[in-house]
Order: sequence, then structure tokens, then C-alpha cells
Amino acid sequence: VTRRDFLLDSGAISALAEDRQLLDGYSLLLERKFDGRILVPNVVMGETRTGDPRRDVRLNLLIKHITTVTAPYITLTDDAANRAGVLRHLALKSLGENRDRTRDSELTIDAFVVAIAEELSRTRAVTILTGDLEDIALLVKLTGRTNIDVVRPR
Amino acid sequence: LRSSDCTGPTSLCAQRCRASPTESVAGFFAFPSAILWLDARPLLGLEAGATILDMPKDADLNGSANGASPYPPVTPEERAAIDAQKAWLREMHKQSVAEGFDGTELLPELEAIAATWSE
Repeated sequence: VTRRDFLLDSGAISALAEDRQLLDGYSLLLERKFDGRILVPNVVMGETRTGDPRRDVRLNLLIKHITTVTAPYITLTDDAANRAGVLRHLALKSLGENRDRTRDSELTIDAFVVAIAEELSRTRAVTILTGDLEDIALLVKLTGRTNIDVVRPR
Repeated sequence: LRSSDCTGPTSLCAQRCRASPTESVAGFFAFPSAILWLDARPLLGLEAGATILDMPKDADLNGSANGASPYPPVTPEERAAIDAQKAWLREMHKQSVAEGFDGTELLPELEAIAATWSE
């Protein structure tokens, strides 16, 4: 059983919150094949929670599904925050002047998620479940880490 | 190491770089600051233009040559958190099955994807 954590970004949270069978599938996969946890980078909540109880119902069910004695959140450290800035800058340079600039702000949260994954990857393999495969994969490539995998939930 | 140990060619950090580059690189995981990395680049024989804040790319500093895990042992706190979530996920699976959301049939598809993941 390999040490591996799953990290969820906002797209993955939406996908798994809306598809309980898929959430159960990933739960079984982790439980049976890996030694690790399903984690949510705390920064992701900034683009996920609305404060409207009706809108947050599915989100709350998902969080309940993975919450135990410890919260499922993984915190952004000072080092990871600084690293995210570097990764975001490199990604913007890589995407070039003709990129879709409406996505630039989303890239900040993506960079936080990848910087957290990079930090975790020193002590375990990491799978990032994401709705934004392209940008997350680019940022992971920029880290040079080979033990971070990126997958769209479905 | 304190940051004050890590500057200058006669610093403790520089001495350790010469004595054991791998050990010193491992040290940068604990102190991944631009200053340390910048200071160490020439000692590690890296290109002068290497990006500051670049992380070492080899996760396998603990050795997997003999098939051992490349990762350090899980701490007691992590073990408790992992075991607690796994136990909870098993409970959630029972609830999902009871409510018609059994994910078992998706497992082969997800396992096939997971088989492509690197360690």
C-alpha cells in the first residue's frame, strides 16, 4: 500500500459533491489501494463556499463525508505561499502574452494548490483531483516533481 | 542549522555541502529559502542561472534502491488521522450503498487510472 494523499480543488469538490457514487468510488479507491487521506487545501474554500445554506448543502455533505476527528483541510504554509507566487509567475510566462487573461485570477488558487501538493510530495505521493486539468498540470510540470499526479474526477 | 550558519564559504552549511551534498540538499527541504538555495548552488555544481526557489527534483532522498518506500515513516499523528478517515470512509460507504450510491462498480475504472500514477 503506497503512501498517497488525494487533494481536491474547487472543480473536484463540485464534481464529487454532485455525484455521490463517484465520491464513494474514490473513497473506496483510497481506502483499499493507498495509505493516505482525502484532503482539501484550505485556500480552495475561498472559491467554493457561498455562505448560502441552500447552495452549500452538497459542499457540507462532502466535507462531512471526509471529516473525522481531524478536519480534512491542509493549510497553506508561508513557504508554500511564496512558492505559489513563483509557480504562478512561471506559468504566466509559459502561457505567454496571448493567453486567456480571464483565467489569470483562477491561476492563483491553482498555484496555491500545487504548491501545497509540492510540499506534501516530499513525504508522499499526491494525486490532485481537479476540474482544471490544463492549468494544474502545467503548474505541476513546473515543479519538476514526478510523484504528483493530476486527474479530472471523471 | 540556523540561517546564520548558512552563509559564506566557511559556513557550516558550506562545509556540509562539501562533505555530503545529498545530506545538505535534504537540509534544504527543511529550510527552502532563496538565500540558502542561492548560497548552495555553486557548491552543488548547479548552473549559475538556475531558478531561485527551485526545489530539488528528487523525492527519493530516503532511499528506495532496495525496494523500500521512498518516503519517511508516517508519524503517529498522521497515522491516527489516516486510520480515522479510513474507518469513517468505510462507514460512509455503507451509508452510500444503503442510499443507492454504491461506488463499487466504478472501482475498476478508477483503479485503471490509478495504475498509471507514479510513486
